[in-house]
Amino acid sequence: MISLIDHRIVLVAGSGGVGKTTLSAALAVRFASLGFDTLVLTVDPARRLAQALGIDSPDGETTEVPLAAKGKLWASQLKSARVLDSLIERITANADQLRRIRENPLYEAVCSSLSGSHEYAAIERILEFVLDRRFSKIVVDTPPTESAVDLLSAPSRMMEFMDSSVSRWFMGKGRFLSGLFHRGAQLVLKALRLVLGSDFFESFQRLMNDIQGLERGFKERNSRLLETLRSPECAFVLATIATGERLEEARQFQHVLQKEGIALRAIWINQLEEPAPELPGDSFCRDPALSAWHDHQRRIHERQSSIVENYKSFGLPVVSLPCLDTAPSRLADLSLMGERLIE
Amino acid sequence: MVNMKYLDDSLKRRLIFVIGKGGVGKSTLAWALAEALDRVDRRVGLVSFSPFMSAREGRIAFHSLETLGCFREYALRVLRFDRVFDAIFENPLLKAFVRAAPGLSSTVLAGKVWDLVERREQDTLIVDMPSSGHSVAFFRSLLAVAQLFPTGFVREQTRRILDLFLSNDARFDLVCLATELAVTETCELYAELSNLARFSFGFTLVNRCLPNTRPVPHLHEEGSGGQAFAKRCLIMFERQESLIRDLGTIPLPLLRVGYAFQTDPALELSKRIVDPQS
Repeated sequence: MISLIDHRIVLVAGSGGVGKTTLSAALAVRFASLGFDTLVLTVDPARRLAQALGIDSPDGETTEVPLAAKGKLWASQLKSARVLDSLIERITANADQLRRIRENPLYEAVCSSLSGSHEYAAIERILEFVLDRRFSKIVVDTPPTESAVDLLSAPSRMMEFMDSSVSRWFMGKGRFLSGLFHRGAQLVLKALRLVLGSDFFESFQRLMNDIQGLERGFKERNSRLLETLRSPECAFVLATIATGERLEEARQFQHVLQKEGIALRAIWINQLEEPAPELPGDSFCRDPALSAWHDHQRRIHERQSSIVENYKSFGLPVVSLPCLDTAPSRLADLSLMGERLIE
Repeated sequence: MVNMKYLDDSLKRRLIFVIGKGGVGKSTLAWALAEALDRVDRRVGLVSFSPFMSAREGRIAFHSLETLGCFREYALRVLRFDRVFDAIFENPLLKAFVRAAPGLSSTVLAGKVWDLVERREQDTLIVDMPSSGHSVAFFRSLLAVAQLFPTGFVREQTRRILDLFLSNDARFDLVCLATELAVTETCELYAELSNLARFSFGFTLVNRCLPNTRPVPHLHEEGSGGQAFAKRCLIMFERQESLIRDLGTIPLPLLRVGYAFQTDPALELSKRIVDPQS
């Protein structure tokens, strides 16, 4: 069986609240202690974890984490708020084009609401690090998505928006008049203007005009990105918890990955409760409150165990991780956790 | 767990938004409230924006909203000609535009919610919102669009929608867990939403709460398994209570929702909403 150690890039996907950031950091610490120079790329980490990793600096630069290990560990924090903005900045041809784009009243709204833009920009950022040969392992804590599936559809949604054949329709009048006249196009534009009102429509048209030319940059990066995600140096892992909803989501995620030609390599089930302990016979008589707790613990454990069994039917390596009393705040805690992720 | 005020207040509303961080159990609690209202013979609808959610057995009307479908419905009213419209809708350009145009998606989805409420086919509509960040973006772009465009369709729509969303007919409930991350994010979420507009907030629901009793370690023999377990339970309980106190910065009535163990947690919780003693 292929182990995670055979891959250079590990993408940890999953919904919010499953402890994805912590698990990604734990894996990275483990890689470093095995002697690999490792980078962990994380999105808006919880404060305490950021401090443990030494990346509480506001600038979001790649910083080396002081770690007594054979390999080095770097951490980089992605600020999800401005990722699209910096992406546009990198691929615009000149300052004038950038200024016009930024001055459009709709641009701010595009940055905050264009579906999938954060997810897209986050995985796009991986490309930069992949080319940096300082890192022999890269662990990516993907941005929390409503559903793990959103992460993968982001590049194609972004391309749909940026695709030159689509954006061309919206470009200025000059283009339409110069031979690209198309009855269908005119009909669509007329209908949209009628439905949406002319101010909204015209602002959008101006923005599309200014974005013109960016689509090639997007396209190039996108195809390189998909190539990277499909290559054997990249592994997807799903971080999840033992609830019915997450189990269903895991099924869908595996299905979507398969369609994209990407293999899921492991499932990490986090936050599992311990079984209720055997107690001396008279415990419940002495302390009636304890019986409610014991019953509670037993039922949670039973429910979770049956869900874990379902995860095992996926035919993938499954790692079960206990519920921790407090979020790990020291590198030593992360290291301990990481040992369970890679045998 | 849940007190009667929760059900009573819900009976007075036409629209209830269930908002919270990912993974806290929003969908389960939204369905639980829907089932509870259904039990007391209200006509209930549940709205979801997730393509993976499906209807449950029973009387509750389920509306899975998707931008393109809702936009089609709107545009049809303006254009009036089905034939023209369908020709346009086969165009991939239009699909891409509707998905990508900023603010349009929020306006269209919110417009459909407004329409469902106005049609009065159901007495109460419960909206299972996307996770916190996405929800804030949803309401923010709705408000931004209303400000950016002084005239036209989009403006007209947003004004009517906001009239309803900001009225007393609507209620915004926050769902949280007693974990550090969830509590922090819920406080931020409340702050962000209340900065956006004067929404009428209802309750903070703390999901998956521990048993509401305190075990007493000294009742058990020194060094026995009973004492160790009681100590551990007590630590867990005190930690939960301290996090719940932190949630007190949100000035809303707080409801504790216990764990649901059955395979249908929404049904189990709905029984507790209708009869808190059960």
